[in-house]
This record gives sequence, structure tokens and C-alpha cells, in this order.
Amino acid sequence: MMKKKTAALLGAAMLLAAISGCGNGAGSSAAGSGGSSAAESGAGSVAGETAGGETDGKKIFTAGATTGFFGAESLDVAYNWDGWIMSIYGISENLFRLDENYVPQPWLAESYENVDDLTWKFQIREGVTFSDGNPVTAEAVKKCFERTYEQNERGASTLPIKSMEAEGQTLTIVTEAPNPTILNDLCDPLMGVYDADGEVDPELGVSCTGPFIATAFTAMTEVEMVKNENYWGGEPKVDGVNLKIIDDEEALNMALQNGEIDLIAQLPASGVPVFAGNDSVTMESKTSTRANLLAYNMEHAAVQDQAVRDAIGKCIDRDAFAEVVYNGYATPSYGVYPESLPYGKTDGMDLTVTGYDPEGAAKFLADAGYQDTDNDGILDRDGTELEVKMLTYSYNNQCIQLADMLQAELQGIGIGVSIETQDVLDEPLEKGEFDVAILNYAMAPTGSAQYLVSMLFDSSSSGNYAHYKNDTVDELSEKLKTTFDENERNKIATDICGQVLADRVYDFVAHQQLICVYSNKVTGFTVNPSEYYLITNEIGLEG
Amino acid sequence: MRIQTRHTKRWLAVSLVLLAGLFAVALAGPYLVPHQPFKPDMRQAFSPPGAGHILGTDNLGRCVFCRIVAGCGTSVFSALAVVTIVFVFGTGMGVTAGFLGGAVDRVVMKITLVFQAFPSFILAVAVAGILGNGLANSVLSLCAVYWTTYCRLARSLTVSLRDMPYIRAARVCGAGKLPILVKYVLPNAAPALFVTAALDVGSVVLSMAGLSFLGLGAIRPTAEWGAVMSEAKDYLQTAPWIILFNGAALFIVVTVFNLLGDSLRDALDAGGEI
Repeated sequence: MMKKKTAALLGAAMLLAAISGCGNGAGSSAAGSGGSSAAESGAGSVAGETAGGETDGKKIFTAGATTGFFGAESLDVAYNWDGWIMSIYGISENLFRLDENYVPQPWLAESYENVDDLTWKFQIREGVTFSDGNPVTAEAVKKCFERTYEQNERGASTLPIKSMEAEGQTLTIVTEAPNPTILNDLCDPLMGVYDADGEVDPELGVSCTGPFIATAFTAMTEVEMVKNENYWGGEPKVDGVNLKIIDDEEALNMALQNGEIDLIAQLPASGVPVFAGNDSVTMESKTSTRANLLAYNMEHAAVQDQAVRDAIGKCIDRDAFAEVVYNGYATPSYGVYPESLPYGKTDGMDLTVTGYDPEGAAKFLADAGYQDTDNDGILDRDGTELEVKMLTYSYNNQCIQLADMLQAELQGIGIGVSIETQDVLDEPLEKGEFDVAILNYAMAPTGSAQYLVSMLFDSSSSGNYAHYKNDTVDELSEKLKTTFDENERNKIATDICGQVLADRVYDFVAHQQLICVYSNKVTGFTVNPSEYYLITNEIGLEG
Repeated sequence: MRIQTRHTKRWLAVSLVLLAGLFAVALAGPYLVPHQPFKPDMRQAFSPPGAGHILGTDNLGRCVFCRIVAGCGTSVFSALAVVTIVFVFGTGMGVTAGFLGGAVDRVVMKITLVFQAFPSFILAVAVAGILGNGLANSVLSLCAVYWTTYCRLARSLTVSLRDMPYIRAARVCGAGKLPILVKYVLPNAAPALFVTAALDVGSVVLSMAGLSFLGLGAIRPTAEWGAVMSEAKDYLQTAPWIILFNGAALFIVVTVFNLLGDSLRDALDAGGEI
């Protein structure tokens, strides 16, 4: 909550600043480049305050993003989702890394051997040390995984391990059941490798192997890092990296425009027109697997009736959402996964919702017996008003706009809607304090369909906040976990999608692209579609 | 309470006409606007001010003008609600404390001191944060800030009036406490309190917008100006008309209320007392 307030206050300050300097912002593209070049030319005189400059002869790379991308509560890989953020920060690394095509490639593991269906041998890279100086051995990795599994309940569902053995640099993992996606699972940042023997610093967390080491960290606010001099992959090209969370989107845009930061990671779509045509920055995007979706709480009477869920689904103007809210950097979706994935097609499936059709939605409700008997504009049935509570992130502007769109559309057909926004959704989702949750998830960040199935659709999953239960899906999920054949796996994943779409416990709205925009001084930066990686040793600054 | 001069009279008349206009917009406006203020029309998103939409459209293609009109009532009436509540409550507390004196006076004054010890807007943010979002809660949180002014003013006026010869005379004649309060004290304290109230409306409108800007005031889809400006700041560079016109609306309303307060003060010649 406080973050939001700070951001809003910052926004107010920015507003004043913008109004006072409004002559500069009048002509969009020309003013944009003019403003940036002014900031750049001033860099020499205000070195230290401006990003990308040399501070005391040191090159410091600075990036900004919203809470959704940079927000970590701690620097402990095992805590909640913080491992993911630490991987983005360039602090932690895994045994395997996803390439641009979501194919796992050796990283801290040099090679592997699939001994039998259950047994996997991994050769850990020689000569790698944690930032505290301890060597990365198979024993260290084993201890690290043991601690992670003990601390984070997602561990067991990410990669069920029966036993581990360590000998020198060889780590043997025996899985509970045949696991064809073990390499993908090992790319999940929760499986990041850290020194479990070392002290966990209350501020700076655990020691890892990445190109950067945290020197100062404020939860959900910022992190300062210096380069890891002994980084095994080659010395980082900058001396330090500062990452800041700026939730106010305009403040974020302006931070790049005035040279305060060098890069915006996961640029909110409202920033696209701001930087389009600006020659002093580069905007790059990659198709990610991230999507906006609605999850209906099946334990709540309001949305238990499929007619209501169908009606809501038909009121989502997916095309307009992708085109206007995302400025075209998203694709409208009626299926679960992006169509680019082999299991993302919806051909031949029996879809109830195939387009925006508020009249059809109203008819669904009328057929289901909803009427406005008390003439208050809200439909009712059996004496109960048809009202739903929507929950979404306070910092995700696109989700909020989707909520706003839906609120007006649904009220138009007689469904009352209240919207609640929260900075962190974990608690209200766990407590079930919603009828409809508007979420923004990476659907296949490890490249495997299993990820989302295990997280959202499996009835035993801890992330199944919708309380979705379908025995066929559970059976198929089990089958998917142990099927090695790629074609067979794709077919099972497609079948699961068919069931999920027929049950309509989720509405998938749009698959978005990952957009990054950065100053032309930045070198060696590439956008990785999986979102696990951002800061690397290759990032440099010219001049 | 004599109306002072022609000049003052004219200004009072002007501000009353403006106020009537504002009320007319707030009450009838939402029924007269050309477009639905809450219905998104995505194909029209970010249209600049022009023929179709006189003040342009917002990020969801909603008419900015229609939303400003729809939000007028929220801003004006919630501010009036705050002022009415603090006026009645604060005056009641202050007059009672001042008239009774002694322990009651000391306790009431200490309570106001506690409330005044906090920076006013921080107190409002804290109270609104504890109570949760919503217009009613933000009204309450601002009441917590503003009531002390009326309480202390009413109390000091009462104390100064308490020993006036005419009050003593009334007392000697056997008038009870309540009749003295109602008949002699309140009417004499009223002008200064009314002027304070009129001058406060403008600042309450701004504080209310401030709370909504921070996400603590009006809940969606209310087009409260502060909340709209909070969202519109993300489009400052690409669609500045959203925030500018809402800001202008806020400016106009605050000016009208300040004008009214000033001319009322001149008219009632209470300037020296507050």
C-alpha cells in the first residue's frame, strides 16, 4: 500500500515537473529526442546522478521496471517467487538455462546423462564458486535443493525428487516418476543454485554464482549490485548494476527519457507511443508466453453457474484490449497457450466463447433465469443479486483497464461489479477473497506445458486458486508428467486445454509481448522471451 | 449582519450565481451529457479534443467532458458533506466546551490538540488507509482533520461572548443555559463560523481529490476528478488533455467556492474575527 502512495506522490511531483517543462513535450518524437540528448549532454556535469555515466570511473548500468518484473521481497532463492526475480537480477543461476526457443541448455551443469527413466546424472561445471568463495560442488547443489524444498512448497510440485546423491562434481537425481521435462524444470529459477551452507544475510540473502552480487537491497524498491570479479562466464562489462522499481508508468518513461535509467524492462504498453520514433532509444520486443487471464472462484456461488462465466467471457472485447490497451503488442486469445506453441491451437475444440458479444451474453443470463425483478439495474435469481467482486494488481495498468472495461460491459448486461486492487495478490487469492481474479501469468516460462497445468489446472496444486477440479484433467496431468514422446505430450496438453476451455473456469484474454526499451548507449542487451533472464555479463555501456 | 457595500453585494451575487451553475451541472449534468460517461468505446480511445468529443476521450475511449460532468457531483457534494458534518459536530463540541468551561473544556481542548498534532493531510491519509477505500470513508477521514478548526473557533467565540453584559443580563433574568446558548451565543458566533465553512469547501474539494489521487478515495467506476487524474498521469505525454481538463475542472470548482467564501466574509464583515 505504501509503495502505491509513494508512487502516486512521485507521480504528482512528475506532473508538476511536466507542466513546468511542458514546452519540451509538445511535439512528441522531436521533443523526446531533444529531451534525451539534453540529458545526455548534461551527463558529464552531473555524473553520479545520471545513469549510464561513469561514477568515480566506474560504469554503472541502471534499469527500471514495475513491481511485477523487479519486485522481490528478499534475496533468498527459496523464498516465495524471489528466485525468479534474483535470476532476472543476474544474481542466481541454474543448472540449465532456456535459450530463445525455450530449449534447455547446460549452464552450471556441463552435461547430463539419462541413466534410466528415473535416474539422471548431472556433471556440475568445474571451477565455479559462489560469491562467498565456496566452490560449487554436487554436494553444495544437493544441499541447496534440499533447503529450497524444505522452505518452499512449490519445490515439490516443480520437480518431484525421490533422492539425490552427490559425488565430486556429479549429482545424481532420482525422480519419483519418469520425468521427461526435468531439464525444463531445472530451468525454473526456484531451482537456482546458492550456497546453503553459508549464512543467509538478512538483507543481502544467499550467495549465488551470477555475474552480479548485491551490495544493498530494499525489498520491493531497489537493489544495488557490483560485478562478480570471479564470474565463471567472463568478467561483466559494467562495474555495477542498479535496479529500481518505478510503478508510476509516466515516471518510469521519464526516468529513461531524462537519463536517470538506461533501460526499462517489460515496458508497460502505455509507454510504447512515448518511445515510438525516438531515435535515442531502442525498443525491442519478443513474443513471450505471458497472458492476461480471468480466474473464476468456483467456491463462490456468484460464478459457479456456467451461464454467468460464459456471459462474462462474451463481454471481454479481446481484440480492442490487445489493439488499444497493449498498442498492438498483444494477441487476442481464446485458447490457453499462445498459438505459436505446438499445443496452443484451438482448432476442433468446442469453444463457447469465440468473440465479443454482449447481446449473446445477456441472452445466456436470461435463459439461465436471471431477471431484474426489483428494477435496480442488477439481475437477480432466487432473491440473490448477481454481483461479482473482481480482484487485480494495483500496479498492473493493463489488468486494471481490463477490469474497467469489464465493469462497464457487465453492468450494461446487469451484472454488478466491484473492483479491488492489491499490491500483492497471494494472500487474497489464497483466502479466496474474490469472485473473479484478473491475473497476469507467464503460461509456459520453462517451455513446458506442464508448468501451467501443474500450477493452475491440477486440482492438488497450491496455485489453483480457482479451485478447479476435473478428474479427466487430473488424469491427463499425471499422464503428461510421465510421457516422454514429444508428439504424445503435445496431444495430451492439447486435450487438457480442450477440457479447461470447455469447463470455462478461466478466460484467457490476450498473450502479450515482452517489450524492453533502452538507451542507445547500452550494448550487449537482448530480450529473452522467457522473462527469467535480464541482466547478464554481456551488458555494457558505450563511452 | 448588515450587507456592507454595493461592491460586496455584487461579488456575492456573482459567486452565488456561479454556485447555482455548479449545482445545476452537478445535479442535472449527468442526465444531459451526450455520451455515456462509464461505457468504454475502445475504437475511440485517445481521441484528441475535437468535434466528436469536445474535450477528447480517455484510454478506454470514454468522453472526458462527460466524465468531468459525471464526477462534478461527487466532488462538490462530498466536500459539502464534509463541511456540514464538521460544522455541526465541531461547533457543537466547541460551544459546549466554551460555555460549560472547567473539566469539559479542558478535555475537549486536549482532544483537539491531539488531532492537530498530526500534519493534516497525513492524518487524513492514515485514517482513510485504516478505514479502507470508498467515498464515505474518505469523507470521514477528512472530517477527522477539519472538525478541530470549528471546535476551537466556536469555543473561543463562546468564551468571549460568555461574559458579555447581555448574556449576564439574560442569566440574571433567569434564562437557562440552553436558551442562552441557542438564542444569544450561537447567533453571534455563527457569522464567523459560516465564513470559515464557506472558505473551507474549496480546500476540502482539493483534499478529497488528493485522497482519490492516492487511491484512497472514490472507488471505481466513479469519475472522481482526483482518481481520474491519478490514472491519466500515465498518459501525460501522449494524451495530456485528460489530466489537464480534469485539473481545470477542479480549479474552477475550488475558485468558485473560494470566491463565495471571500464575498461572504466581506458581506458579513467577519474578516476581523477569523
